[in-house]
Amino acid sequence: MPKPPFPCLEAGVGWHNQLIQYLVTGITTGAIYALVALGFTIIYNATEIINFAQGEFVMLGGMIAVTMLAGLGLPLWLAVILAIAATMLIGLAFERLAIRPVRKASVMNLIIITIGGSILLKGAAMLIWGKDDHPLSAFTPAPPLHVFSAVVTTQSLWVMAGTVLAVILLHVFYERTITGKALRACAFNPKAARLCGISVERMILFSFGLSATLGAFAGVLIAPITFTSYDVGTMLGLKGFCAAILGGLGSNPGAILGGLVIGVAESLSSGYVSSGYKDAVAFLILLLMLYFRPAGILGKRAEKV
Amino acid sequence: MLKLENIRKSFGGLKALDGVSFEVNPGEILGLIGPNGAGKTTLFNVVSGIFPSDSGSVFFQRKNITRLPTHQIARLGIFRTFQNPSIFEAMSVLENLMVGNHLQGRAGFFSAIFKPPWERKEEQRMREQAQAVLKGIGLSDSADAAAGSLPFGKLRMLELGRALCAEPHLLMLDEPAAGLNQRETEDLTNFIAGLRAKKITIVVIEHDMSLVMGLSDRVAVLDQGRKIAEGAPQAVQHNPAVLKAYLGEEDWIKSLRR
Amino acid sequence: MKRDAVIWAALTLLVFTLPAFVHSPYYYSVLIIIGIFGIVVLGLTMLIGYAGQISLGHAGFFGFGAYFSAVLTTRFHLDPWLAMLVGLVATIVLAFLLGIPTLKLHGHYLAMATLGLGMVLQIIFKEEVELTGGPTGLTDVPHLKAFGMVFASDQKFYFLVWIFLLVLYGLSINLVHSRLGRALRAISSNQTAAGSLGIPVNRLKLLIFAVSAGYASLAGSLYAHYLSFVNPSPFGFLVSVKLVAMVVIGGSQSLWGALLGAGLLTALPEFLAVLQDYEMLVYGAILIVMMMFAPQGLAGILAGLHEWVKNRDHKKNAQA
Ligand SMILES: Nc1ncnc2c1ncn2[C@@H]1O[C@H](COP(=O)(O)OP(=O)(O)O)[C@@H](O)[C@H]1O
Ligand SMILES: [Mg+2]
Repeated sequence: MPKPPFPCLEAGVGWHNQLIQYLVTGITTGAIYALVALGFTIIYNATEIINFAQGEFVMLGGMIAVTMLAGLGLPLWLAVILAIAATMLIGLAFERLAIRPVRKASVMNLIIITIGGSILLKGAAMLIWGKDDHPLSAFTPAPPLHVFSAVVTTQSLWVMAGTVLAVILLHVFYERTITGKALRACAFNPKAARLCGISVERMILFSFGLSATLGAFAGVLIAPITFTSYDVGTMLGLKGFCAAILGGLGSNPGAILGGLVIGVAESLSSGYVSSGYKDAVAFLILLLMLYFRPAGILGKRAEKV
Repeated sequence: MLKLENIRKSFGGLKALDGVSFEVNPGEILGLIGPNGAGKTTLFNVVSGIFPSDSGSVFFQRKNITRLPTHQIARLGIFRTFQNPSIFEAMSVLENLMVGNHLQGRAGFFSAIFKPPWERKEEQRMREQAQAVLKGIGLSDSADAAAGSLPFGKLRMLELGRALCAEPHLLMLDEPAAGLNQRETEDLTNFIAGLRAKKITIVVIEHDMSLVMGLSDRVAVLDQGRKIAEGAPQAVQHNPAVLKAYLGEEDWIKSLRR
Repeated sequence: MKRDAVIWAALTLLVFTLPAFVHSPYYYSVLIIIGIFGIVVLGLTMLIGYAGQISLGHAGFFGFGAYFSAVLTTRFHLDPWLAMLVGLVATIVLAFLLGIPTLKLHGHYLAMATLGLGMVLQIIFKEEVELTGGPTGLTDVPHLKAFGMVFASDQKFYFLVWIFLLVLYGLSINLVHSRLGRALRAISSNQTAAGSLGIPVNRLKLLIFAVSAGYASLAGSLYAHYLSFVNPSPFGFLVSVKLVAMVVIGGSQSLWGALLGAGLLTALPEFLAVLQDYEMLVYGAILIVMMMFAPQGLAGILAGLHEWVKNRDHKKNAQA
């Protein structure tokens, strides 16, 4: 799990000084959760499927980048692009091979299938990369910055900037491009979309590709901070899902907000309450939301759940 | 027997029921008609507790049942069928009927797992009851078939039979003849007429006018969430407000006049 | 009912004749684990296959039983059987309380909520170090004793676990073939219609959720006494998924199918040593392939074969 970049603060610093540090840490992990949550949202909107393999896309992005960079000695930018592209292809293949043939299956069967996909990808990763943690070097080797009393690594800045960039691109894509608009139409009303000549099948395929791309991007961004290994996907995926529910399943701004809230809540609770229960925070938030406001913070209506 | 007072129910901005009141007398068959979207199904849903009304009250045998949950309303003897047959597809035809019998049994968790002799007897009794109804609806041959494999017409009969297994005091049928052919509709009409002898009070929503007019003692007409007419079938048929509600639906007017 | 009774009798026969052929403790240990998962899966099948409610958190209840037994016997020196009973009651109460808000949810939301519950339970096992021993867990959980016998050897424990399983299997058969069993299946098919026939939908869902948690708790207690230690790792998300996979791969519509699933998914990785590193890969592939080509599971395949043979015989007879 993401460790705070610089947990060792000088003794005697007041709680409010630490607060800034916790916020920085929280926003960094929160940004990653937000990207994962966006991935969930994109697929959910197109298919009403919750893709339990979402976290594995994050793992794959990081792992493939490690191989490209350390194994093949490619330059960083190329490694990143190739890692994202490869993961996208895996996402597309997953949809074609495992999801499309069973589009009409029951919710239970779909859950099992995406869980199966997740285990399969994880198992393959274990075979290829083993069980060790793999480091990825930071994008820029500059020394950390000091903002007020907090220490901010350059990689944290990369994560934040990368997330902002991804969100902007996604927004532009949805608002300005034909494909983006078609994707939204499918989410809104697949039948009507089909009548307008939009190929819903193609859009679903596309949503898996897009979602894998976002996941891989998140994986590449976070790998220098946390290291990466074959099994990082499970927790990241689940946390991302908590974020998606918190924001309101199906809402893009909700996914981003949810990710940030969960990241910060985790970071604060590990700082002020107990680091052991840090992982429980996201799930407690998930449960409270499901029980009391299943439509999420930004969910439009209290849909039947 | 059943009394509705000023029932209102909206979905978002849409007023599906806009202050509906009427009464159903014991032993009668009341036809409920109205154009599509008039709020008829919503009315059934409110009475059977599937969703609560926004305001107004429902009384059954003088008891206020407005806020009771669905299964408790069933306990009082109110049962229904659905516009889209809601049978339990993976279960056999006989099992569907035995679910209809649910309230005739009392075996709880512990008697279910330990199966004392009285539980076996009760099971036997429930099975026999269900078989009797099965015969009545003419499906004895398909007793062990998966209910989902029945043709549409038989699904409607099965759903009706399932409600009858529950020994209803008040039976609410939501478009029982929709999707049936001429012959099936006639059989159904006769079957429903036969229920009158069993002293079951019936409210039936139906678009097939020959069925409604032939069966009903009285007819109530809903339009846009309001009751616009009520009375003897003949009188309602010529009520100008009713004709106006159906304006633009020529086929309907023809069928009303038939 | 009749068919289930026959299968139950056949399984009983098998359980008591098997020791004539099996002598290696290793095989017994595999059989014990199958039996333990089998017990969990019996309950889970009634929840998933009959009542149609998914749970991705049952490993949490499994762990709850295990920890109750371990903590009460090692820290409070309670009699193991009493500890098992306390764990059972506590788990049922817990499941009942958690079930009230959880079972109002449907589909993916229900899956996620139960997943969340399971995760939180596992985190509690890890973090309540003073009680549970934290990540290292608790050791020296005492053996179960009865009638002057200590269930220490693998063979003895094998009988204990499988007798538990046979009894629970028998009770489950009764339950699914009762008025309540039909009501559960009605709920899984159409909650609104079930309610309109007088079935207290929420109450029955809660009941079966609590019962299935109870099965898991009993299995957990047996597990703790068998291994004589517990730690949090077998009670996490992946085990919850494995349990559901057993139910679904075996065939969620039948109890014996689920037992078959438990046997298969436990034994497969054990017996195919080649699989070791490929276990996860193969396991994921099995899940996907089964759901794609045989959504009714092994039981569905077998039922289909049976039907086919019957029809063929029928035709033969007709021709003759
Ligand atoms: N569950 C619901 N959610 C939203 N709108 C509904 C719902 N049920 C019914 N309506 C709306 O209420 C109106 C009345 O519907 P209904 O009672 O089904 O009419 P009828 O059965 O007379 O054809 C319709 O406009 C319908 O779209
Ligand atoms: Mg209607």
